[in-house]
Amino acid sequence: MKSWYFCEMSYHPAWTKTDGPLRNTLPSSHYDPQEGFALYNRYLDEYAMCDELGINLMFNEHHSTATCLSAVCTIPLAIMARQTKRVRLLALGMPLANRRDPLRVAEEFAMIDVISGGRVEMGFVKGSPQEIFPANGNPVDMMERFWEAHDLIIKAMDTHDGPFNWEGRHFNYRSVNLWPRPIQAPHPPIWITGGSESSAVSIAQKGYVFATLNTGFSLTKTLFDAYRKAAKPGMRTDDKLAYLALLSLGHTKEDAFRRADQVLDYVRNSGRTAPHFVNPPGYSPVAANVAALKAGITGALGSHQIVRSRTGERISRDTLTVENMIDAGVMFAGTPDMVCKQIEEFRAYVGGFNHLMFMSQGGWMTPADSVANIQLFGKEVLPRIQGIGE
Amino acid sequence: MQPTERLSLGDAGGSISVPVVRIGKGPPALFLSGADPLRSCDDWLRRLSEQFEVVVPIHPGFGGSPFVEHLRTPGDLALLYLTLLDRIGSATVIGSSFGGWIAAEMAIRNCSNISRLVLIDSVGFKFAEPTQREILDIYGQPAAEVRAALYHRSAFRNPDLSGASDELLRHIVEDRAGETYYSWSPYMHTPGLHRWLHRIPCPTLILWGANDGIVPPAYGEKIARSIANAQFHVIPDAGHYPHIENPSSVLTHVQNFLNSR
Repeated sequence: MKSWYFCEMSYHPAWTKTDGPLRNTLPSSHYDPQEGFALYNRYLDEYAMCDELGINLMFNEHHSTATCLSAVCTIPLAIMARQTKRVRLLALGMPLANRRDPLRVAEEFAMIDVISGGRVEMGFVKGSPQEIFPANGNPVDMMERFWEAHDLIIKAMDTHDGPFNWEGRHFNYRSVNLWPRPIQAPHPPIWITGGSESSAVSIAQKGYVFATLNTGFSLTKTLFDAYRKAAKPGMRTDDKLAYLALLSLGHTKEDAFRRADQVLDYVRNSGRTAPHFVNPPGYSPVAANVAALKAGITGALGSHQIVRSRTGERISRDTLTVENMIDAGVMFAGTPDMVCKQIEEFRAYVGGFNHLMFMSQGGWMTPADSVANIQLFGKEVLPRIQGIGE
Repeated sequence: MQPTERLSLGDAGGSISVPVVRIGKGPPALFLSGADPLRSCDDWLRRLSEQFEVVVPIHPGFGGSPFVEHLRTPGDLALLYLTLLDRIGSATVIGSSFGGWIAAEMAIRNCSNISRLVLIDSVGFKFAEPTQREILDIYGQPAAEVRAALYHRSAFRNPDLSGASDELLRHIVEDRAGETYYSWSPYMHTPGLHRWLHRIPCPTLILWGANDGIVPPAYGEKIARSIANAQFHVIPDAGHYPHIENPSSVLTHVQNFLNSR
């Protein structure tokens, strides 16, 4: 089993400066660049220390928001290409449908792959609905755009006999001739996130790593089963399945739960988005929208934006506790013994996966607590789980 | 209103099947709608059909009408409906909101089958500087504020959809996605379209809801000034859809316009 450390790089100093939404419309007057300087460097230091612990690194990006300072996922990826020597570097991910220039995406990944000595993993994501507004990509045909960008990037990386032209529906290039080409041939491994059975099936058919985020006991098994069923016979599907959980550790349960509650502060605040930004037309399926209209629901309809209990009930952000998040399979928290047991139980329940991504930093957590979480994971948990599934 | 027939509009690559509502008797009128979020223009269409043979195509991508791969812009829809006019002959073309945008795209291309043009609270144009917002961003506002901008009457601002059928709700959702597909970016306009309005030779009537909070009457006056043979009238007690909120006043203006020379 491989592990991946993830940090949202929050700008929590702004969270208490407003009672309103943190995404899309919060003026940057709420952001102090000097404070940002300190936070970026702290977060990057915490990423860098994973190298000697053997914990791989995962980065994401969000836009116009105080919930995430990483606005360009390939920038921390590039920094870590030089600051680390051994671990793998995953962007999860690159919101392909929101990028106007897929060739630039290929160039960024290829450069980082070469500089890092072939340690890049390319994660492509649809992206959260509120991201559509700052990116201004049309939400109705975004998956069509996603797949065209994907096809172009793969062809650019796998073509070595000079330029080709690409006159597609969404992208036009008179001359695609990617320099540098990546070390990993034909291209770095591809990951894609998903929250529906249909996305699990299409990702399985392509043989890519399928990652789900915080889908817990209620949904993960269904999605992973769909992937396994659709995968080509003989594929080691555990190596292609990834799960992101919240995670917190302590030498005592009390220490662990105190830190875990700070991680949950991230979840409590990250959903502070105005309802009109979370369901743009065409983003979610028609049937889900019809059901929402009937029920008078406004707000997000996507699986990754809703936290559910083990039995599938929606858990509101006001009622999140460390205990109910552990029970839901959304969080692993406690002493190393407790966490190993929780991971093994969850892994058995969902039928196996060999990539555990974990978010163990959140909001106001002090650097000392963040570092303690990373070190406890690397020294006390990873040695006990890395043999699983190998 | 349910489609009464499907028109097969041919092109070299095969035909496009367009669901159409066709009601009433009289001279033909093509009515092009926007994504009226309550699908509530039945009353207007019934009244209009007392004087016209009204033809209402359901735009590709709107409820009950699948997207067509090569129809990507309102200009593409204009070519589709000019092909439709080839079939039904000379007609009065009436466009509301997004439908007005399509009607304008038709009229700048070819007015040989457009005897008269009526634009009701039409979008489609960008007159101002880049940072000036002329059309409210309906996708980036709270739903209640969008309804308050769309409608003058409180019954429309606070709709009760609890008794609506699944089919109606599905059509409302699909209409919204369909309109978004064509209008997301550039938002609700074709760059430079206003520079071609001078090409419209036919008599043109521009009507505007006095209380339109989506796009104000001053925008309609700018359209009217750009068309050689245009008149402009404001409809009282109406928002963005005056034909829905004040159909009598809109019909009176249309009648007077058709009776004028």
